[in-house]
Amino acid sequence: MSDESRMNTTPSFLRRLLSTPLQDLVRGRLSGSLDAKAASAGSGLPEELDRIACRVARRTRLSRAERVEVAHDLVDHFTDGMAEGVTASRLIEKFGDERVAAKLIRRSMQRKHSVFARGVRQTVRAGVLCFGVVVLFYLVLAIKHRNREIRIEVDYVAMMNAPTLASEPSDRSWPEIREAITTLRGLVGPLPDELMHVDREISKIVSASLSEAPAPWIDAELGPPAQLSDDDDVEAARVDRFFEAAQPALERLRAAAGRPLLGFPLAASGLEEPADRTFFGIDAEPSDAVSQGDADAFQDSILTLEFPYFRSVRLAARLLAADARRAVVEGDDARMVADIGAMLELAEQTRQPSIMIAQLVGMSMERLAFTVVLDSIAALPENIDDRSMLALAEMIRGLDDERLGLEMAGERWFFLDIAQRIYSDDGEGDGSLSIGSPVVDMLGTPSGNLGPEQLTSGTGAFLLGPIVAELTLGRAEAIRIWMNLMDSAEEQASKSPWEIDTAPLGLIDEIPRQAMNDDYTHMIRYFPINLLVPATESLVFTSAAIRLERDLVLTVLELEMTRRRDGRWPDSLDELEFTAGGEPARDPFDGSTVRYLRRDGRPLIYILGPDRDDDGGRGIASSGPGSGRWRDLRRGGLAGSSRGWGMVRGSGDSEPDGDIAVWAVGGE
Amino acid sequence: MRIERELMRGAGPVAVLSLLSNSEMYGYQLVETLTERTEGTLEMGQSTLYPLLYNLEAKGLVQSERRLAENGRTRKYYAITGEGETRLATDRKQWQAVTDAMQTLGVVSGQLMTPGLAIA
Repeated sequence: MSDESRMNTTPSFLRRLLSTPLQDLVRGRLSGSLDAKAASAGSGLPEELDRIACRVARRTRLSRAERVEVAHDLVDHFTDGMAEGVTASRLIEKFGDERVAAKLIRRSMQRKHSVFARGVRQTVRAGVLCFGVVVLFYLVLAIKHRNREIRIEVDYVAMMNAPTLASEPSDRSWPEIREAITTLRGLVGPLPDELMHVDREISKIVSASLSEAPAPWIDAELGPPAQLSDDDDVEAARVDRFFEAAQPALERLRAAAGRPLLGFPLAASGLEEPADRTFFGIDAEPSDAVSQGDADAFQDSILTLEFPYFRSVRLAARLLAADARRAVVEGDDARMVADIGAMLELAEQTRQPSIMIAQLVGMSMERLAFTVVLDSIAALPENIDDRSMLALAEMIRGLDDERLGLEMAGERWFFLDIAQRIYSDDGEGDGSLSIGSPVVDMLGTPSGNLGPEQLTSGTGAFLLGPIVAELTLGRAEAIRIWMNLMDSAEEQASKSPWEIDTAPLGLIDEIPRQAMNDDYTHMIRYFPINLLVPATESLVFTSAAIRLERDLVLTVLELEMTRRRDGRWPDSLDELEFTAGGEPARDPFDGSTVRYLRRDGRPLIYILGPDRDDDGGRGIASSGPGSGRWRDLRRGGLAGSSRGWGMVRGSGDSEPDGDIAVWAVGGE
Repeated sequence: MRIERELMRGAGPVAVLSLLSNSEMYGYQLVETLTERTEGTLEMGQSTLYPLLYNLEAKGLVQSERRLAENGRTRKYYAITGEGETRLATDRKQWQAVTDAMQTLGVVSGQLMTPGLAIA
């Protein structure tokens, strides 16, 4: 081999640098001693022998130091052979198979390693293998989940708005309610700056009116009402002036209630109607509640819908309730019947679209109407003539179970809308969670606790997104579970209170909701459901309570009509005729007819209470074992007791002794 | 005659230990000496020799040292260790027993070295 070719094989500076052990570098020596190629380069051997030595050393896949040692040994061997006069071709022939040699050398060299070193090596190899598998798994998941697209195909907001958009403006009650309340705002005197404060002022007047209306049966059986705070104290004369001046606006509310639907235009981007923006004191045009980058994800989303009218329709119902009571006191029973009718109509309108909050607001309005009727018959029955009694009975009887039932269609749409924004779509109804999408990000961030939100946004989403997407429920399964929950809520709400089974309401895919927060895998897997599912248990009982209260109102109306017909209170509820339909109300604790008795010649209707014992109409004591949580219900009557309906009767002192009065005619 | 791989696997280490028990040697020297002394019967290439040497070294039966040779180059020399001597003594007895047994069976010819194995 020529000197020139030798020079060409001299390792470069970089190669030597990279092949120098750290200990040499620390000492400032650029030895290049880990370069197996260099080990053979200076031997003077023919190139083919050099190459064999290098190839075999490389194929051993040993450490660099060991490869250099092997290369040295082979080069020495060839050099000695050449020195003995053996030709290169003969040496190559005698060498044997390179691959077999490398394999055997590798094995024998590894036997030189200590048990510890071999253990470390095996561990590292296993670790690398595991890491490789994980990386491969991650890549598969990343490809699987990142390549899927979200497709927002259904405009659920439009579906919610469809009845309004299909209606004539004259069929909508909302514009009338808005104008009526605007008128009432002008009656409260000097206007505070904020519209919200104006409405609060009206509400204070309404509260003052409701509290001054006579309800002796409540006071006699259930104790005095809660005192209003000084802030809520309104002069009686001011209340009288307000309601006198409010009659045209109240008439407008009554007329509005007669229209087919509420007709509030829902819009994901804010309030569309300028009149609504003025009414709610919102200056901004429909906008940009979300950034431009997130606009597509949130566009026309139920998530961004606002329902500012709930407060207004509730205020309208309270105005009508207060006016109804005042009408009874004034002997204007026809106006009272009209007010009650308007409240019930507004409640029905408010229940649509059938999202949960709308249902609850509607139910609260219905309960308020029932309470006014019960109070009025107890306090001033002589001010309600037979015709009005019949009108009330007809009206209440018209509220059939379907009308008062729970409808979860809006909640179903709500989840379907969310699903199409957080899940990909495979065209067959399934898909996987789209980690990093703005909607998932928004859903995942409210609590700030360690949980899925750390995995669904920012760096967490980038690194763990595909894994979380794989672990989280698929679209079809999530929808199935959600629909099952809604089915359960509707099914249980349709039952009588004593038949309600709360167990299915607390389960997500057969797993208790509590376990969702205790188990991290459950938390991730079910997080879209767990995060969004409403507390349906109280909704179910409230829905059942509405139907019971309806029956109670009918029972009380029948009781009073029987008294008028027979000239005395009946001995038992069996004497009630219910000629126009209906039957005595049932006790939610045991399903039997509510208990009825006459005390000092006056009637009392009561239910058993959580101890499910008949205590002869004696109310739950304000103190004593287990009474604390019930004390506040003493004025809550039938619906107020609903949270105890689902209780499994236990033993010991946990349940208070006594019954719950739901209607009575009190003292003078 | 070349020896089958399986036989070589058993004979090779003993042969190498035996040579090294006389004096230290370097790799090529071992190959050449084995070939010469056994008339080619135990001739082995590098692909067999070096794994064998590394194995013996791993077991502590030989030790190696790289040092300057007469020709001015560095070279790795192998020497038997005390443990290697002990192992060689044991292996010698075993091989003797095997050889005697083979003679007894007539597999190989020659004088019996171990009287107890003679067939009456």
